[in-house]
Amino acid sequence: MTGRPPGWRRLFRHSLGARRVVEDVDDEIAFHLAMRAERLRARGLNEEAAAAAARRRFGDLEHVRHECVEIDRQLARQRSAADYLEDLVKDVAFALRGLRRAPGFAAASLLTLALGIGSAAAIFSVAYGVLLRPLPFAQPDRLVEVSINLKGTGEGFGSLSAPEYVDLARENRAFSGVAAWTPRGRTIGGDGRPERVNTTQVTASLFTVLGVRAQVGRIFTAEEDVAGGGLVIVLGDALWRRRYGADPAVIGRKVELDGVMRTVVGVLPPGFAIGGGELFTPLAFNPAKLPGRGAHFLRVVARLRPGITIAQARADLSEFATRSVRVNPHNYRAGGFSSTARALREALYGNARPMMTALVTTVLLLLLLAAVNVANLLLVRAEARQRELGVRVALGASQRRLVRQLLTESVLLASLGALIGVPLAALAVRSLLAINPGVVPPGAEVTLDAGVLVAVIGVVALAALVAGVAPALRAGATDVRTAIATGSAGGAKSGGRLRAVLVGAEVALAAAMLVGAGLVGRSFQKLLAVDPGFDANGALVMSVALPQVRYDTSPKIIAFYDGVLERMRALPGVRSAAATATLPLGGGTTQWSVEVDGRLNALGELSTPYIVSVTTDFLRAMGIRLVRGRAFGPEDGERSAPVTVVSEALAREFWPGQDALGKRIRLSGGDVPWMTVVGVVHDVRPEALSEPPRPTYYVLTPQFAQMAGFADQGMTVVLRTDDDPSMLINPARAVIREADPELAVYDVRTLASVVMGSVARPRFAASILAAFGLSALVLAVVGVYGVLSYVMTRRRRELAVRIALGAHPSQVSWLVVGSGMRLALLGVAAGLAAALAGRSVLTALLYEVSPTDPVVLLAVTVTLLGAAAAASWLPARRATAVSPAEVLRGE
Amino acid sequence: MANTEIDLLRSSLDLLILKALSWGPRHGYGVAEWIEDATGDALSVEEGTLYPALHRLERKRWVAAEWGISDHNRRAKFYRLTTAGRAQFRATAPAWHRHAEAIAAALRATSPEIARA
Repeated sequence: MTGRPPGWRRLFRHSLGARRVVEDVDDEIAFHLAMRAERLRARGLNEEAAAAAARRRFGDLEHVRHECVEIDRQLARQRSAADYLEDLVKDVAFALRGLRRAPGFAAASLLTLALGIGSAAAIFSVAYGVLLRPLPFAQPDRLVEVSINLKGTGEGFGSLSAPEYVDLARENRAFSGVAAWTPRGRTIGGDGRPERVNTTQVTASLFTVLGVRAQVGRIFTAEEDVAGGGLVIVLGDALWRRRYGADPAVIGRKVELDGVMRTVVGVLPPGFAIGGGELFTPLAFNPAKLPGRGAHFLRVVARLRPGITIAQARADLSEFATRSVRVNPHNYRAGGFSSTARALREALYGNARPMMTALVTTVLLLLLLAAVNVANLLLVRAEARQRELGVRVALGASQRRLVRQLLTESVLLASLGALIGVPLAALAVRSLLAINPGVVPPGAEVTLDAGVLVAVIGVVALAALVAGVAPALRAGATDVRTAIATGSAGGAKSGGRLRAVLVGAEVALAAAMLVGAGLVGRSFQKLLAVDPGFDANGALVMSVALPQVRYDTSPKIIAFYDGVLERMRALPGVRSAAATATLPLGGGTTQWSVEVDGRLNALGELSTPYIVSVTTDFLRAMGIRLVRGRAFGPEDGERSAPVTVVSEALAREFWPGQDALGKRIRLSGGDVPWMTVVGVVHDVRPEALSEPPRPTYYVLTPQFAQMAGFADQGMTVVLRTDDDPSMLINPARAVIREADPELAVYDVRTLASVVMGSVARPRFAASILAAFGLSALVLAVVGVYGVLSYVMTRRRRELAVRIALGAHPSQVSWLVVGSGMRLALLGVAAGLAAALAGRSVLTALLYEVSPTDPVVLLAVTVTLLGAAAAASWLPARRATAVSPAEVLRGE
Repeated sequence: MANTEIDLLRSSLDLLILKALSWGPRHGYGVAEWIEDATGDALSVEEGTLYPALHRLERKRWVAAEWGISDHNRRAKFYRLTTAGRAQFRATAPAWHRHAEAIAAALRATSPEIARA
């Protein structure tokens, strides 16, 4: 290499600014012209001629200038990108080194971030899908559900009967289209793979009202929606994929549904789920022979006519109700029949709202807590690095450079947190949908939402950025010498107060969340303590549905169940076997009003009791305790005198203060024989553990068939055993398969899991709130611990002096713990106040627990204070454990 | 100027610049003077065309530029050969020689029949 020419010395680095590009090119050209002119002058030209000659020799100056500027601009862009990248790599490497040096800090912040991002993104995504995502229909905001209310309280949203629906469709002025649907469990069979599926019976107008087209084939025609109009099926997307391998050739195929061959005409697009149906059949009413006006089983969807508001629609429906009462006075009590409309979204997903509100509120608190915690951790870390920052400022690092470096560290933390948090959120959403304890209503489309993710990560990242950069700004502003000189002993007092506020806020947030978790947890505990009225342990249940076609008479149905129960009784380990038309807590109930012998019920003051049609051994198989009289026995049968066993609640209501035994009731609405009460049994909760027991009477299926003229085709078999009930699953299935291989056996589970299934929602609420509450507790403890350990290192010298002057180490420890406890106390007080203020969020989830339950409030207070004490005790112990002489010498 | 001439000139100019810088850093004017002296002023190129060529070489990272102070105490932009530039020069100079000689030989030909040795 040759040396640099004399006089050459380095001035500054090649300029990068775009402004300077033009300047530099001009300078360079000017230099050239000046040098050339000088040389020419040396040859004897005068100044002017030399300058002109230099210009001439140079050529097209503007062109050259322009070209050079262009090239340099490209160059500048290349360079700045490269420089930026280089600095970034350096900063990231630096930040990573810093995090590795502080593994405790890194782990705590990453955990916090991942937890906050993961849980918030998951819950928000679910909430968005359930509460906000537009329904997958055309102009969904114009869709309403029409409901009626028979009692006129204005609260219930009841289904319509077929005549009511037909009247409404004909007479309304508010809707451009009206449609009805009703769910129905059915069995697909005929190919040796019987499967029980949820189906929806719909009017042909349903799809047009909703604006849904078939993805393959077609939807129903109006002609098919009339009795005898054709036996057709439209498949839902999920069933089409699962059972028919998404084969488009399924159109035109015959499928056996409940023993009847039907033709598949179309497949609906994915995401269409009304009432959880996987398969759709036309309701196909016979206009001349509609089901009774008293059978309310249709849910009605309508599309508002353009320009009509929901209020106008409600007015129209009021008129409809008034007219119905006038025309059919014997069916409705005046003033006891009303009709209204509400947004379809509200009708479909509205009952998920209380749980969603509680979850969203809680996770919002958790997210806030995570943000505060990260901010706090970063602040503590920055305080500890005050000296380092001071030194670097003294060595010439610009404030901008420091900010950039700390920014990198914060962004790195947030990115790593997101890197763990996002898969966590995806996993959480997936498992939430897999468990789905009735939180996500069928049909609600829930996916990890990108917008939600961005928003959540944004919140946390913002907190990290603000907290991460604030110390750098302060480091730039504080006097460098002070920072270095005072080192670990001095420090930002304002920072201390800010941190105290943050820690107090963390404790408060944790307290509020723990109160919520505690209340819901205690509710669940109380719910589990409720006696369902039967013995849930040691029993297996399974449901069977007999197709109408082959089992068209009561004797055939009764013979089938008698046969399989007989064979099941012979299975090893089975103590008793029975069947019932409705299983308590199993999801289905039937109410049938009765006449009471010797008691006029003209005013209708007696409630409509629950009827349970069962086989002889039912009470024993279920473990329902007999209170008085006897259970059904072999002496009761088709031909013997009708008997009934009633619940205590029924006995109390129908014959207050009297002995129910020997009294008589009969099914109302016909000339049927009286049933004599032969036994009184313990109350059973028919629908939910949280619902009080209702008056219930049990009848024998053969006797019921005689009185009502029909027997239920679908029944649930109950097997009681001394062994593990799940051992019976296969043998019992085999018995049914032998009896009829084309039957679908479904809902096979232990009685205990039936009970647990009935409380799946509260259990889910309790466990998820408990998980959030625990996370909050951990975060708050980390916060208290982090701040106090930091304060301790700051106050080591002071504490050492105190000990040297004769203070007992334990006294000093208590001083420290005391300062931690003060923070915790303030935080707990604020948190409890916040929880009380926001208690309305939870009331819908509580069962027999007051939002101000003293046990919960006390437990939360004790837990948090205890945790705070432990978190403060450790740093205090550490600070006072070393010898004061050492500390004082060391500083 | 025809395009072919521009290409020919540009590639030869690049080569000349690299050669000029092979003895050490120079400013643009220095490069221009060296080329003028070395070619006996035979390449009567407009001096301005040198600069886009220099800047292009800089963008290709064959030369690096730095601002410095000239012998006459003026602020000037100095160019120096980078390792990549040196390698490029070593790679292209012999090729240019062969190329130029081949063309010169062809142009010296006296008969349409080429005698094959």
